[in-house]
Amino acid sequence: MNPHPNHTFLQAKEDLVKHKQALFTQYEKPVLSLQANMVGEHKLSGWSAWVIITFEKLIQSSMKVVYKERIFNELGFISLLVIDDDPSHLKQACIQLEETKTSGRCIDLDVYAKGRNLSRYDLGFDERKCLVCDEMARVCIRTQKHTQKEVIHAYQQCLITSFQSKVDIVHFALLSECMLTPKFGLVTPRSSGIHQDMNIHTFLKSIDAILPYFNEVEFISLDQNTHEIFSQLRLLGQRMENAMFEATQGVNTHKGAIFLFLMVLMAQRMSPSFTSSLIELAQPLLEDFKQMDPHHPQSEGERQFHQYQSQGVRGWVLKGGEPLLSNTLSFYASQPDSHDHQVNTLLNIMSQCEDSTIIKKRGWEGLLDFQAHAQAAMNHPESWFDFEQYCLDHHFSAGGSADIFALVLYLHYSKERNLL
Amino acid sequence: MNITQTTQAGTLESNDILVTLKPNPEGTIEIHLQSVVLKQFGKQIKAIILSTLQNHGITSCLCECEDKGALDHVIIARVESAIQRQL
Ligand SMILES: [Zn+2]
Repeated sequence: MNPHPNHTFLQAKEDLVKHKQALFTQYEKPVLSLQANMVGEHKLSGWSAWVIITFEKLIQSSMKVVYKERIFNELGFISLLVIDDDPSHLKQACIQLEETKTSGRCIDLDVYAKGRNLSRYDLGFDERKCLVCDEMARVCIRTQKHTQKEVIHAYQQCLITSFQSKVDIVHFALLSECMLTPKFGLVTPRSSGIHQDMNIHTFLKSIDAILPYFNEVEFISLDQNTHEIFSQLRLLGQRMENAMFEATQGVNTHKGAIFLFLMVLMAQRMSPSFTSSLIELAQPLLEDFKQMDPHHPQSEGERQFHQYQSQGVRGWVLKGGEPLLSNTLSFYASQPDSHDHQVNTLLNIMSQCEDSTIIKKRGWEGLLDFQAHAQAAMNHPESWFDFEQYCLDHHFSAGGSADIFALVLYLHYSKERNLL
Repeated sequence: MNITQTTQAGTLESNDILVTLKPNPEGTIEIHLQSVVLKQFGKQIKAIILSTLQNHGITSCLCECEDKGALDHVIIARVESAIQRQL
């Protein structure tokens, strides 16, 4: 007998159940698994991560979690929580969440105890409904009533509707960047790229640590000049970096993202079409460049400024992120979201961005070579493996491009959700 | 080929099916199916299970299946691996 093409997927499912059984035996308490019920072959995405982590937080705030584990494999992103509660009581609470939260239809909360998942039916509840047409979901799946495109669209729309604030969208954007695979030398759920000191869990911890601080941008008064606004942002940014380093035990995961998102969130408050306010807000950065001593560069950024006249991310913000930001935003908006389209969007950014992490490794010529390779890989999924290998060989990990990728997703969905 | 021991494949997770094969003293193929979509698709699912068993030369077994919304290719794969585990 030939092994089935889906062999590893099916094997992973059996292994997951064995693992849940082992946890149940060890703790003698129900095991709750959180999985996004996303269709299609690409189960790892910001969509699934956002709904899973949002529900993890809800559950952790109201239930007694005694063990927590996040798994990334063929099945996608699975969060396992062992909960100190009676299994049927827990299942009822979970059904309540699935039914009452807007994004509840996008997640499966399965309660495992004594050899099986408790079923909705046993507790007197109806089977789950289809996201597209309100028929019983399993009937639509079996008859393939809807195309995969239709279902994915309905799924994404459901999640977009459940974004309640700008910070929800920042969260989604940072998670999308985190989950994207392949990512060409950067950390993904399936690989640590060129990095030895961090993995996907480092990034997820970092996002959890910095996220709440983005709410504070709302409290910075607009009744002051931009220099004062900027210095308050800088203080907020420093507190966020401290929180990040504490969560990651000293690894820089999101320094660039913190800077970009703080600047853009604030600029959006100053004016919804934020480009000019971003440039205005960034003016104090010019003083950074003036104060630099060409003979004694204080940082990698300064060294690159003197050697290549590259102003890095600061220079980029001083130009309002243009023209790259408009280019990439219209590129991303030109097609419905999909895994491949996200990868192409990142490659598009990589092919244009003066990424300081690349310049640091191989200078200006290295950057041009990297950009040309990224350009060639765009729209050619068959060449992604080779480009990944090229990045690993050259020790490239384009963190700056990844930050801009997250920013592009944030800007796109905050416009779509009309939360500007 | 007769089924001589008890083997299992699959899970009770969403979109999967748990297949248990047992010896049948009656010497026939007997399929017991529980499914969340029994009313709509019970016949169809049983037919898939039966043809998979027959395709692998099974002439006698008790096949107990608990379906959680598995698609055809999953049903076939789970029945096949329950048969494989006989060896
Ligand atoms: Zn439907």
